[in-house]
Amino acid sequence: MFVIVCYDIADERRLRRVAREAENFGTRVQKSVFECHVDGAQLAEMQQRIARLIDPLADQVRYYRLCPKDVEVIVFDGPGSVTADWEYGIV
Amino acid sequence: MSARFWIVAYDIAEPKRLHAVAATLESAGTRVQKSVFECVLDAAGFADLRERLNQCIDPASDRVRYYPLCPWCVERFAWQGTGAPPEDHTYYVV
Repeated sequence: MFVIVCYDIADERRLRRVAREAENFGTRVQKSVFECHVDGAQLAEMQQRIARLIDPLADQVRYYRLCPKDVEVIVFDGPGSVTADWEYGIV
Repeated sequence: MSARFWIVAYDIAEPKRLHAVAATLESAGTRVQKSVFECVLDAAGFADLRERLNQCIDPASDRVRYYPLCPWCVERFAWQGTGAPPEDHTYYVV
């Protein structure tokens, strides 16, 4: 699955830790947006790991799953591209 | 024309342009994070928003990403911490 992870983390140290953790699962495409190609187990693991790093009263992490049809329609302006996944064959 | 749910995420390198982008998006959708908005837009609305944002940005250094979410995907949204799920909009995807 294609999952977008975007976060607002109130503390610099927690922010760095969350970013480092997200890098284990996906590619940073913007300052606090990652694109991840993961299966269900990896998504659950990522969410568990990130849950341990954040302050739930001050921070926010959003996970959006995009099905292949939605992925085809992603639009971007400015430098960069949609991350590739061999399963979907999108470059 | 059917409307579609969009996530709009941006990285804008300069404060004045950042402010212009945010102000444009405030009129089009709901801010859910510092630089992420959720919008429900039909094709014309999307084209209009994208046009307006492209007038605000420097394409060499700023980034705007538009991610569509079909109803099935919207249902599978998850979050941790503060905030709320996408607002309940009635919309149809062709």
